[in-house]
Amino acid sequence: MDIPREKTAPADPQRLGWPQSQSEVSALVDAYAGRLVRYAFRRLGDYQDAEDVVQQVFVRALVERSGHRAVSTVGAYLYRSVGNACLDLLRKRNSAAVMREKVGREEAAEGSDDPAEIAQAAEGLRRAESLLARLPQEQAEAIRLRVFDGLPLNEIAEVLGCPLNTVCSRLRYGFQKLRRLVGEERE
Amino acid sequence: MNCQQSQDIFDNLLVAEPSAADEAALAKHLEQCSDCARQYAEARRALAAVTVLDPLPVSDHLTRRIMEALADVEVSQGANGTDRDRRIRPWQVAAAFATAAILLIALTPLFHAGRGQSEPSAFGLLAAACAAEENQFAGKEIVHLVNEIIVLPVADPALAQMRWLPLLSLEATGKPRFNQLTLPAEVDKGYTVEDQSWYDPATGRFARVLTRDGKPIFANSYDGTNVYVEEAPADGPPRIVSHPIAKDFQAPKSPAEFLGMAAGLRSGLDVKDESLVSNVEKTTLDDGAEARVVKLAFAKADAKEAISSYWLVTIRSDNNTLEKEEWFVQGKSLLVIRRGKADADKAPGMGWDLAGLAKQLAGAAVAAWPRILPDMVIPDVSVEHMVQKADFKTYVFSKDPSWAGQRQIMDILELPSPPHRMFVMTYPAKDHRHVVFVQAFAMSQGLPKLAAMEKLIYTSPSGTKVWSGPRDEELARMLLLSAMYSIKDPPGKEITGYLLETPAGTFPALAINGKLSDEELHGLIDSLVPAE
Repeated sequence: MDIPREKTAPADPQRLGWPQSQSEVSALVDAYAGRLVRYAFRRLGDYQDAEDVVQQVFVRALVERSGHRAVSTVGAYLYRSVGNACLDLLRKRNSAAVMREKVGREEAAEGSDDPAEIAQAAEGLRRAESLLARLPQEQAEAIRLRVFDGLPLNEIAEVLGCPLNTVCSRLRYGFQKLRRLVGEERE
Repeated sequence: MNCQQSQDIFDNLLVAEPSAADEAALAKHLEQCSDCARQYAEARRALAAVTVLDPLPVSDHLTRRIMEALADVEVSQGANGTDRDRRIRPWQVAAAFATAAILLIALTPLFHAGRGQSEPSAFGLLAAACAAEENQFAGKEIVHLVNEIIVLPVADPALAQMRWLPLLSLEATGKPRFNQLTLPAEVDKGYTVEDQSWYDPATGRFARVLTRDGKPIFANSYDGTNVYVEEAPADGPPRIVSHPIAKDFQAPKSPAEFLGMAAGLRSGLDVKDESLVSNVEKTTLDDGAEARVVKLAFAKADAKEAISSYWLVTIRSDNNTLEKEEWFVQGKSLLVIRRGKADADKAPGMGWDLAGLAKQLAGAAVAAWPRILPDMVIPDVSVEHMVQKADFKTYVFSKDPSWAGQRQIMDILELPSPPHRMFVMTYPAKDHRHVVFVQAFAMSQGLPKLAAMEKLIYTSPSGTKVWSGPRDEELARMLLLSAMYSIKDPPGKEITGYLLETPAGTFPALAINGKLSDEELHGLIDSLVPAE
């Protein structure tokens, strides 16, 4: 059954706890940078800004390493940090996040050289976002974190700042609606 | 399994993976229940609709940006995150290299007489400006020029401390001495240095005095028989020292090279690198006159990155003289040099022999800053000189590169960490594949962190390691620019840079203005031996 698996980095840098050296942060960059950039992009609608925010979060992870030794779920913390940094940036801009309905080919597949892959990624993302945009926002966000980012439930709960049961409910109800929408499209 | 149970599995597909037993039971149920089979297919389509490709690969550009930023943090904080005060940031090293490169290029005519042809471009404008500056000294009357060097307030402590200018003085031999005027300031505080020059076209006599708040910080003159210079001994107050001129002494033929606004900024370049000069823009000065603004910049290899260090040079359109020079680092204006108002042309009040200044200096305390650091650049030194002056283990190639010419070594004050010295070794090559080998104290402090992110591509029999990474081209460009006084070619399209790690634990850098075969590279590295 094609169920989205939780995505963990090969070296699973999370198990090491909060990174205490540049090389440990580098391992986190390998594991999370792409996902975090896309997460930030979903909030900011600008790929360059998303990259800037993610870089800022990784730099802060290294600078403030001694104060974060107690953080156990590094991934969730990074997501929350990126989310907060995006909010700060949006406040500075004095504007709300506007999700782009059309995801640019280059932005969607930054880093890929394969035109077919770029086109497929762009189209897939566009379709997914058009469906998720029709769900309640909190349900859509839980699904994004689960499917796009492959986060485990407890980390989604941390990122969203809500109980685990709430995350499960949002995923369950959100997926029910999604199934209905896909069914309606076929009809 | 019944329909309700299968519905639960569909609803919770994003929450929990069904167990193997549940999957088997579900499969059996789906064979018997067409409605659940239809809903199962619908659930699969819904999942597929939101299951986009795996997280797309992080672009190399982003990874490099982040890694560089992390290296910056690591170096700036020291290994334990405690060494903030003595930090040397990679970008500072880069900015210092860049500025050194630009200024060394500007000084090129002093090493190589002869001018390039003027062009209707930014280069041409700078050449015309230098010619106009030179013309100011070409009359019959004594010339008196005043410039203001304005050290601007900045909030960043590192930027506040790193400002400097080249300052040439004349030696009794008639040769120039390349000094550094360090212009540090407290955070958010600035000050102005007054730079006065006098020149007598009839006799070649000159005097140059820099003061802050009326106190002299630099003085150099020639009165026809002696050369005078202000010196600040470690054990006493500053004083004026007189040196009788050498027998073969010749008064400077181009006073603008070390007096006035064009001092240290000559554009009659033997070597032209169009990438350094750009942005010819028009502007209007306070007095209503039109002017052009030229950007003299260190162009980074990666166009996406901001240019870290550049000068904006404002040239009056009515007479081509220089109106203002402004230095930017990381987008911040750090320093402005602008033309001040001079008195009516007359001889210096303190005398061509600076006697009046000597009285003023008597009993004066040495100013903390600005300070003059002598011998910022010593061109063409010997290996023995290098070994004697370096406070780290230096290396030389025991065999000159087969494709290149004679070695030349330049001794330069290490800008990020004075008074350490750095040594630029150059081998000009007829096929333009010039070799530049730079050894510096600061590089051995900051570059190991960068080497850790690069790839080891070769280790010589004596243990010298060659590292290669995404910064190779940028590094090569900096080194090649720094050595243009010798190689006289701008960096070509294909340039190569390597970071080396010697058995002594130093990190020299190697640049080639072209490509080397593996055999050539290995031969070069294998011939690296400790300098003695």
